Amino acid sequence: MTESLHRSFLETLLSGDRHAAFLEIERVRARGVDLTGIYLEVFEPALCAIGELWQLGEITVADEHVATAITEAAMANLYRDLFAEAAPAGPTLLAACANGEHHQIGLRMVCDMLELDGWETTFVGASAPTGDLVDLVRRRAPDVVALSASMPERLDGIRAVLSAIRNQGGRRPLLVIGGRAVRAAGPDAATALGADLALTNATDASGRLRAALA
Amino acid sequence: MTGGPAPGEPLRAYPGIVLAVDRDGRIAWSNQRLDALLEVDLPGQEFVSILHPSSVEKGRRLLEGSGSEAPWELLLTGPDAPRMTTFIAGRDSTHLWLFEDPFAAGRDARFERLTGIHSDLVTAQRQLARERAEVERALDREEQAVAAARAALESRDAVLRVVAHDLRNPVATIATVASMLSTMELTNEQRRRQLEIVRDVSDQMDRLVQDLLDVARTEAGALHLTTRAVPPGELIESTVDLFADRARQEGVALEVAVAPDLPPVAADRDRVLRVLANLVGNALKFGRRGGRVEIRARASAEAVRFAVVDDGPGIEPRHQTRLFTPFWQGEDAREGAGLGLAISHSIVELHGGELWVESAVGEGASFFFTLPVA
Repeated sequence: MTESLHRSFLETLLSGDRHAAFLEIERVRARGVDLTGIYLEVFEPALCAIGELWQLGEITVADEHVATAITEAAMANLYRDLFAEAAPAGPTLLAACANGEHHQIGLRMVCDMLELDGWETTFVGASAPTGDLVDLVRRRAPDVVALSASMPERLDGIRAVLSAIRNQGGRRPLLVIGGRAVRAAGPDAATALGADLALTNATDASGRLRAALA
Repeated sequence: MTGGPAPGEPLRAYPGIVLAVDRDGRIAWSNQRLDALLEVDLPGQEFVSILHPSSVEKGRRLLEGSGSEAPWELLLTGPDAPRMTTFIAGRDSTHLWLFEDPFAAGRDARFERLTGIHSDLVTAQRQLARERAEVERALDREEQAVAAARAALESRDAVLRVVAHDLRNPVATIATVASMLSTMELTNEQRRRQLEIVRDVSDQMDRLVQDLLDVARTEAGALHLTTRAVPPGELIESTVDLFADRARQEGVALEVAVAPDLPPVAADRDRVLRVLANLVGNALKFGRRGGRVEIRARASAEAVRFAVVDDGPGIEPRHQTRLFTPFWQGEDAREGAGLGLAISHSIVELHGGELWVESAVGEGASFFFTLPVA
């Protein structure tokens, strides 16, 4: 069942049919798959498949952008239920992409799944410039700050934000980095960039972050 | 390693990268734009060696002539790697020609920007949905608080009704007696009887006030017990002493069945006596005239289980669940505030025991409660 759960959704992405994609998610939910299941067994494998198809030259970057946009819109459709089901009062996390980084979907998926596990997450995406982001961290005082970069040229931006957070004093949040560029940077990425922890995949992100906080 | 196919020379002025790759997959000729970017001499290099690992498979397909007809988007290695470049491919008899699409970079940047804007919109939607859920939860909490306040008001009204009703009769009785004593010539014996009536109704009022206080204390979590080890037989004996006369008057056989060698229970003696008195009082009140009421006690795990069993008309199932609600009264209740069972239930629970009823219409009622062994 898990193997094929994302197939039909992937087809709607490849044909660029938003409406069909939304209907497909409704169908999968009607079969009793919960929100975590939708994220882990539909969105994530479908987007991975899109990446592979691009690598094989079967689709273009334009197709990939369309697929991402449709998947994000499908997520937005779930937000009402997701936040209604979520039970806050767990740890707090503030997530942002490195300044100028447009690949937000992976980090937002991690935030959504944390939310379902009781976390209180604020996802500021790519829109916050470094100064504003550091200021936001000071004002919100979250338990965890998570930064993501998928392109290697954004790693310097991450290093700058982390260093600014470290230097501002007060209770310092746990600093976590992730994303494709971090994964590509190898096992020493966390130390090299000034983070406490590098998460190179989304599996049990909640458990690992809670363990690091404890 | 210089030179290459002569037909390439006119393409030096092309505004993007041009490469010619031979059948062995080696770069045969380059217009040197990519050479400058990568700071290497490309002719003679394997074509796939300039590709980022994630594009190698795609590069092979391109060389084999398989795969789609789409523009070939390849990630190149090098100083600013990975940098994406879009090629248009063409073939002649000896070479595969690759031309960089000079407009792709701008097009891709536009796509990237649009996707970014869309992502930011979804992020804003996410934040809105999050805040909306918080507002809805706050509203829910508010509504629950209002409902609880309304329930508290209703319960207070019920208390006031009961108190007004149950105090009016004894007060009226006292007033009557007072006016008799002040206006009539009575013998000593008559006066004594009238004063006894006053004492009885005062006791009745005192019990009601005591019950109301206990309900209030229980609801506020402020009812405290003083427990000590008490033999179960002693509790039952005291209860029988209290009700023997009344049972005899109503022609009810009050019987006792206490298992031998019961261990003492941890009990607040006075409060447990009130539980037993409530249960036996109810059994006499609602039981059958000329019937039988039995008080039992036997060991049950780490506790002693008490039972008050009557052979009266029994209790309808729909009433059984509400018996322990304060101020609830059966349709045929003729007196009392409906507090006895609610208080008994609380007292037993505070002891760490349980109180429950088993009954069927026409088959009497059995009230059970447990108290932990001391």
